[in-house]
Amino acid sequence: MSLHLQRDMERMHREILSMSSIVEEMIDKATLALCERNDALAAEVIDADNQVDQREVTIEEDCLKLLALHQPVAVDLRRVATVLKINNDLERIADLAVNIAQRAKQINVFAEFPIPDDVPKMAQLATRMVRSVLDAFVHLDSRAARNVIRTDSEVDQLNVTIIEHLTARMQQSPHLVSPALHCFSAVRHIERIGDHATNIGEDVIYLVEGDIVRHQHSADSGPAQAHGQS
Amino acid sequence: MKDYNAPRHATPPRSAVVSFPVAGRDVSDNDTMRLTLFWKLLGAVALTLLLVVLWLGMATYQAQQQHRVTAAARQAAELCRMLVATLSSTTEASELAARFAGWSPGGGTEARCYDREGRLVAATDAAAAATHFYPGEIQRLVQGAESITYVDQDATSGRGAHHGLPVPSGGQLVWLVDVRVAVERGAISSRWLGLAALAGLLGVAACGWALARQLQPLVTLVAGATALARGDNASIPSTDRRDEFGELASALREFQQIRQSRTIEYEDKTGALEAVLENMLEGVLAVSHDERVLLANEASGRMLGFVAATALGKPLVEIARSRPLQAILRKTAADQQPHRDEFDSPGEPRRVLSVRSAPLSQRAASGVMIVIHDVTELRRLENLRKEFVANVSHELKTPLASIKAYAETLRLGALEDPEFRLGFVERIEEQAERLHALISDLLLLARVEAGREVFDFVELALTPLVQECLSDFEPIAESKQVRLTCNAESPALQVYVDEEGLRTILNNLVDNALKYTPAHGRVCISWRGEEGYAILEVEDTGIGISARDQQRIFERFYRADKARSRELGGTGLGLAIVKHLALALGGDVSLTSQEGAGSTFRVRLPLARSLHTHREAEFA
Repeated sequence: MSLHLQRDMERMHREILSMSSIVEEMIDKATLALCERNDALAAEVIDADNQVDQREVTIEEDCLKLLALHQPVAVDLRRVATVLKINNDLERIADLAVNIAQRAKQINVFAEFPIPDDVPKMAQLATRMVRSVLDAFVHLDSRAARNVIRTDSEVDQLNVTIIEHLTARMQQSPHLVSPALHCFSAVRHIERIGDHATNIGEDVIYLVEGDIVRHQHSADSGPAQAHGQS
Repeated sequence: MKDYNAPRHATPPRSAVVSFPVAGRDVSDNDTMRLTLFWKLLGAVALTLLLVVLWLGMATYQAQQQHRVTAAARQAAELCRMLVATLSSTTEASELAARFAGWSPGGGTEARCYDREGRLVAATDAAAAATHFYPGEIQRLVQGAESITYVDQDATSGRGAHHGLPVPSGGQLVWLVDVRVAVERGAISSRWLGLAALAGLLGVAACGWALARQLQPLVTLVAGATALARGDNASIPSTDRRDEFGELASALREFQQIRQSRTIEYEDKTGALEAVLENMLEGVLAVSHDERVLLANEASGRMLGFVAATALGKPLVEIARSRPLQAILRKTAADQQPHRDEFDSPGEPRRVLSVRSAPLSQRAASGVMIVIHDVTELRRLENLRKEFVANVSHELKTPLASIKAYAETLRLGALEDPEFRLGFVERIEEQAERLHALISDLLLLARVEAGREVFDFVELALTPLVQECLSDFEPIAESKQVRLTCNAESPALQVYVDEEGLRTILNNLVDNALKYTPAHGRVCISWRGEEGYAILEVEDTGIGISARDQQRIFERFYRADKARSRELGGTGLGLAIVKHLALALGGDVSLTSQEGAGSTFRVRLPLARSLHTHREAEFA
């Protein structure tokens, strides 16, 4: 690898990890804002989104420049391709975090609406998925990536449970339909975050093993898995 | 007398810098007679030169000698030829002999005459008659060539140089003459020369060998020095030679010793530093200007979620993905000023980290140093305190606001109104009572927590106390249509507690149970003994407590269901008092509950000791 290519690759690596840090923080704050009813945190998340959008554009431009200038092959090419895809997923996750924060603000208006106990659990699970899959990217660990992909079914299961719970509550207390709907929305966003984490996991497997494992899930998990599109 | 204090070579002062002084030798007494390398080399070269010159001299001398002798032989042979040339081939041998006999060349020279077949015909010295030419020589002589050979002494019975000449006469060979000239005295024969050469070679070889041996330590010293440079701890071979090699060896040895002791010193210091870093509670992290980890102790890894041992050299963004951390790093690197920040740790468990950063050195583009404190507990306690203060203020304000409102209403005219004035005054009394209860509870709690409450420990039977409590709360239970019962496994159980404290605990627990149990429910008090403690349980079939609330329900002013709890009255301190009292009495309180089914509060209290001692006395 030429020195210039190596330097540019390292810079790209650092940039994508930098962006990951911001996005991970956004997810943390958004889920806290939701579960602990903290409006200040929600505001911070919404403010951070601009930064993420700008960085996404920068990283994409840098990747394309790298491809044009150095025309890398084999592992290096896969690496740049993976970074482009992860970049995309991270930006979507950031948007979802912003959505959750907005929902949290809406729910907090209704102080008497109790957040179902499973919501913090699901949020923690999704956050953990994102963190683990980014660790897998850093350490080029396809096994860890596969573990994360497997975890998605748990998140989907929790999603179903919470929706049932919310439906029951809406029937019990019709005056709480509004916050319950916001909660429903927020929970769906969390589920989408889990799906994006799964996508990143697949990208990592592609990077490490050179195989595209997308759309192959029916082979090793039940039909209950709802797999989102990237 | 020599000045021993002035070393022969310049000795650098011993200081903290590693320098190796040329010392450690003991040769100051014989400086002038020291066999330095210089003398040894000189000696060897001189000896070699001497031997070579000697041999050359001998060789030259012998060559000269040879030359003289062969010249003499030639001369004599010519003379002889001239002598014989006049004779024809038909001359009688006797005449020839006569001529020869008459001629005495002298000086040890002999002449002989041979015929064409090589037979001796005449000679100056009859004693040498037996000599023949070599066959090859005869051939050559017959063909008209000269023959001259130099013969060493004792090689044949001839001595010196032979010179053979053919004697032609009228174009034909007639006679062959042979002249032998004796070698002078003191001549060096080739044998001697050969011996001398051999001796010379041996001598040179010996010199060479001696020289090699002298220089051989150089090889081992070079090996030792190279090993030293590489860092191996090979030992420098010791030598008791007193020349430069000896000096070098002892200097290298000394250097090695110094280096070893310095290494040990350095390792000790580093080890101590590492021990300090690894055992610190605070995290210490140093990062280079290109954001790679220079140093990370175990605590920093724990707080930021990475393995400190493998972190060295990696980019920080790879191992700790924390945006605030990176932000403070970049700020410090940019303006070379210290900064502070506080943020949540990435990953789980969530900690609150207080971070201080500083540039590593004054140079631009140096790294950044970060110290991390875990202030989670601190912030939690702060939050609790803030909450408590807010709660107390609120709790105090509410009845006060009521009292104020009623009093104002009375002043503004209700005093004149007989229908309402009594009622309002009673409200004021109620609220005042509420305030009083709240403040009493607060003070009790404060005293119990600070350990300033004076307890009077006595042995107490549980049964009568529980009965008293039951009868106190019976009217309330009846009015709520809740069944209040008790169930004693061991009715005679005695505990060692403060009576008032236990009464308060019971009252608070039963009060709560009744409050949160709907009509047709049940509240049951039971107690039993277990492992030195009495377990007192208050069980209800009430609304239960969720898992999340169970963790916090013993906190001051914590209410699981805020709205309902306020409605039902109470100070919000009941359970906090129960918990601290139980602790102060030497026991504890725990809770099992299920939402919708009911709760069971369990208080552990120490059994009366006399029960134990009674039992012991029985068996004594």
